[in-house]
Amino acid sequence: MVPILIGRIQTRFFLIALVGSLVTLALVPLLTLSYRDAFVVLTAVAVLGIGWELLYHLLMQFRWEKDWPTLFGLLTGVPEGLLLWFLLTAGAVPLIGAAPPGWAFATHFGVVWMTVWFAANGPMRVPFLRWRFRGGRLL
Amino acid sequence: MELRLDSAFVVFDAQDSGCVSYGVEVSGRRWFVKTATTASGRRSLQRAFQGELTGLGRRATSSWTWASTPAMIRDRGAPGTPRPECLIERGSNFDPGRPKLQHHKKPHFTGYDRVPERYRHRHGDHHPRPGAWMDCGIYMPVGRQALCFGEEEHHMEPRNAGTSGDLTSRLIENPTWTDSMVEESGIEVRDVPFVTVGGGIGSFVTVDYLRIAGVPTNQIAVLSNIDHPWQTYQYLTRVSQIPEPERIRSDSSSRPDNIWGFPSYALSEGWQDRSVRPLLRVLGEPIFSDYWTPRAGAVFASLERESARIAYPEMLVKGVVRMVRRRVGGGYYTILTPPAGTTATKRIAYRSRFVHIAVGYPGLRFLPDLQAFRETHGDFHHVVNAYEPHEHVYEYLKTTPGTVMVRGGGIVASRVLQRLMDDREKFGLRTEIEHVFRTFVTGAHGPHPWSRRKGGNGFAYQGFNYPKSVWGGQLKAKMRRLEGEERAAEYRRMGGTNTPKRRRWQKQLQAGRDAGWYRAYRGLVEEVQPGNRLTSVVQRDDGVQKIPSDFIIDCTGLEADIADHRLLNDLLTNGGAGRNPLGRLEVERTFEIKGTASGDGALYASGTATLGGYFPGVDTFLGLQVAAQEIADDLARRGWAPRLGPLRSTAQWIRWILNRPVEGSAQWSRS
Ligand SMILES: Cc1cc2nc3c(=O)[nH]c(=O)nc-3n(C[C@H](O)[C@H](O)[C@H](O)COP(=O)(O)OP(=O)(O)OC[C@H]3O[C@@H](n4cnc5c(N)ncnc54)[C@H](O)[C@@H]3O)c2cc1C
Repeated sequence: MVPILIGRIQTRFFLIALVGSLVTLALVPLLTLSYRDAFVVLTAVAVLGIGWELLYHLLMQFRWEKDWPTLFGLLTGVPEGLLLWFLLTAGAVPLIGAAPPGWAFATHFGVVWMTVWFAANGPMRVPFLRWRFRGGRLL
Repeated sequence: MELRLDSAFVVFDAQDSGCVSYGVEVSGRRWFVKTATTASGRRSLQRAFQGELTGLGRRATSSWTWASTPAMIRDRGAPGTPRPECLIERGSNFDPGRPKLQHHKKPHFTGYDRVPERYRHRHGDHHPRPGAWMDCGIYMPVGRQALCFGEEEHHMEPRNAGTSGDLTSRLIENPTWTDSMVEESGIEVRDVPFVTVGGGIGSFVTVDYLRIAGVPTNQIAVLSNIDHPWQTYQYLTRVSQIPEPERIRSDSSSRPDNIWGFPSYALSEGWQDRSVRPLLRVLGEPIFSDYWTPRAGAVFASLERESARIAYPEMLVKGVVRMVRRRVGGGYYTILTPPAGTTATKRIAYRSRFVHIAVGYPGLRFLPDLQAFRETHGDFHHVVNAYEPHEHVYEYLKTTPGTVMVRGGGIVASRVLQRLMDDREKFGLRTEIEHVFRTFVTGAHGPHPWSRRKGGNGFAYQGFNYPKSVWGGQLKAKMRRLEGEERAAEYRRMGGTNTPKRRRWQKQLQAGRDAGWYRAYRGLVEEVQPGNRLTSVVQRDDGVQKIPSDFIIDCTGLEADIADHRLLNDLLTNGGAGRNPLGRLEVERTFEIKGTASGDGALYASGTATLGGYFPGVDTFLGLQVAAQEIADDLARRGWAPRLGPLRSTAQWIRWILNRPVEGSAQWSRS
C-alpha cells in the first residue's frame, strides 16, 4: 500500500467502524466477552492507532518508495495487540472494568485485525475506486 | 523485371507517411512497392529499415537485401498466410521501378525516375530533391490481401474510390475550423461525443472506465491503427525479450483489464493454478521476495476478455489520425485517414465534444554515436536497438562464440543480459559481455536518509520505473502541488535509469563477474569503428580504451521528441498545446491538455507524451488508469458521463467477476 498520513488514519477509522464492528457483532456471542467491552477495545484500537500511524508514517520515510509493504500491515498487529493488552491489564483503558480473558481478547483482536487488513488489501477498492490513488483518503 | 508506377493497378499516393505505394502485376505475380517521395517519407522508411527490418541474418553492407517481413508489415490476408518476404533497397542508385531481384548479381542502374507531378506530395514537408524518388524502397510479393505497413493499411484491390474529400489548404492553414469549411472540403463528417485516438492500452483503460460508468458504445469512437489494444505493447515486450511466459515489470494489482485492481493478477493466477504461491510471494514482497509480477501472456489474455466484455470492437474504427483541430462553436474535429479504398472519402472527420489522445511512443531515439555509425556505415546488423527485432544476435552467438556490448542500465538492459546469460547456460555458449554504463551506481544513493535509493554494481535498483508511491501515495500527493522548476527538480531526484533487483539476475551476473565473462564499467563511448569486429572507443576512468565486440545492443530506450509525432506536433503548432518542464505535453491535473479548450469541449492526453506533469507515473498500466479516472471524473463534472459511485462500482465489479457484459446506466437511457 502507498498511504499518506491522513489516509492511514481515515482508513483505520472507517474499516474498524465498519468491518471491525461487523466482526465484533458476530464474534462476541462465541467469546466470554461483553459487547460493551468488545466495542471499547475496538475504540481503543482506533484511538491508539492515531499514535501508531504517526510512528508508521515516520518509519515509512526511510523507505525510498514511500510505500508500506503488505506484510508490515499484517505484522504491526503484534505490537499493537501487545500494547493494548498491557494497557488493559494495567487498567489504563477507561470505560472497561477488568481486562477480559486473555484468549478472548487475543481471538477478538486477532480476527478483527486480519479482516481489516484483508479488506484494506483489495475489497476496499471495489466500492471506493478512488481510494487507492488518494493514499487511503476517503474524504 | 520492371515494377513501374505507370502500370500499377492500385496507387496509394500522397500518404501521410510521405510515401507513394502501389500494386503492380508482372507475369501473373503481384507486387507491392513502397517508396518515399518526401523527406519525411524517407525518414519513415529509414525508421522502418532501422527499427523493424534488421533481422537480416547477414551483414547488410550491400545496398539491398531480403528480409522476412516483420511485425510492422502485417499481412492482413487470411489467417495462416505465410508472411511474405520483402526486398529492401537503399542507396543513391535506387530505382523504384527496377528492383534488383537477383541475389548475387551486382545491380545495374538506370538512373532516377522522375516522380510524376500528380504523385508528388501535396502537403507535408519540403522535398529536398524535387522530382526525384528518395533513395529507398520496399518491394513485396503479395496476393489479394491487404497489407499494413506501419501506420498505413493498403488494400491490394484495384479501386479508385476514396480520392475525393481530402484536406484543403484552407483547413490545413486554419487552427480552428468552422462547420462550413469542413463541409466545403467534401470530407465525410461523423458525430460522436467522445473520441479517443491511439487505441492502445491508454485508450483501452479510458474506454473501459467510461463503459463501466455507463457510457454506451455509440457515444464513443476509438480511432486506431491496431486491431487489439495490446498489440503494440505485445510487440514491444516481445522484441525486448519479454515473451509471453516471462513476467513483466508492473505489479500484481496493476491490471489494465480491471479498473479496481481486485482481484489482483496474483489472486487470479493462484486461483487458476490452484496454488497459494503467488499470494505468499505478494505477501512477502518486496522484503522477503522480489515483487511478484504477472506473465505477459496473462496480461494479453485478460485484456482480450475485458475487450469483449465492454464491446470494444464495436467502438473501434481503423485508420491513422492526421490531426485534431478546434471547432468554432466548441468541440473538435479529428481527421482520420482510413485504410485506402475502404471509405467513400479519403478522410473522415469526427466531430466531437471531447477528444482523448493516447498515441504511445512518438518514436525511438538511438544513442548519437550508434546512430552515426549506422548511418555512415549502413550497418544495421551489428549495431541494434533492444526495441527492434534482434533475434539474429542470439542466433549468431549459438553458432560462433562472440562478444556483445550492452549499453544502458535499465530494465531493458537487464532483460537483454538475462537472455544472453540464459542462452549461455542453456546452450553452453561462451558469450562474453561488455557492459557500459553512463552512470555507474556503486551503492545506495541520494541526498539524505529519507531519500536514498538502493544500488550497486552499476545499477540503480527500484521495483518500478518510479518509486511506488507516485501511483497513489505520498509522492503522488507531493507532485500534484509542484510547478515549473520545482517539479522538474523532483523528477530529477526520483528519476533516472533504474531496474528491479531480481534475485535471478543478481546470481547470473555475479557468476559472470567471478568467471570474468561479464565486464561492467562506467564509460563514455566516443566512437564506434567498423572492421572485422566492431571497435568502441570508450573513455573510461582508467583512460581511453578500445573495446572490440561482435555486436552492440543499445538498451537505453531513449524516446523521440513529442514533435516527431505528427499529431502531437500539430497540437503544438495549431492546437494551443504547450510543453511542460520535461518538454512533453503540459496537462492539467485532470489530464486536459492546457491551452486547448474549445467551447464546452475538452482535449485530454495520457501516456508517455504527458510525462513531466503533476503525475509522474503516466507511462504504466496503473498510471494510464489513474489518468482514465481523472478524465472520467472531469467528464462527469462537465455533466457528460455519469460519475462512477460506490453502488454502481460494486454492482459492476460483480458483473466483471461473472464476466457479464457492461450495461448502460439509467442516466443515459433517460437522456
Ligand atoms: C518494453 C516495454 C515494457 C513495458 N512494460 C510495462 C509493464 O510491465 N507495466 C506497465 O505498467 N507498463 C509497461 N510499459 C509501459 C506502458 O504501460 C506500455 O507501453 C503501454 O502500452 C502504453 O500504452 P499507450 O496507450 O500509451 O501506448 P500504446 O499501447 O503503444 O498505444 C498507442 C497506439 O497508438 C497508435 N497510434 C499512434 N499514432 C497514431 C495515429 N496518428 N493514429 C492512430 N493511431 C496511432 C500506435 O500505433 C499505438 O498502437 C512497458 C513499455 C515497454 C516499451
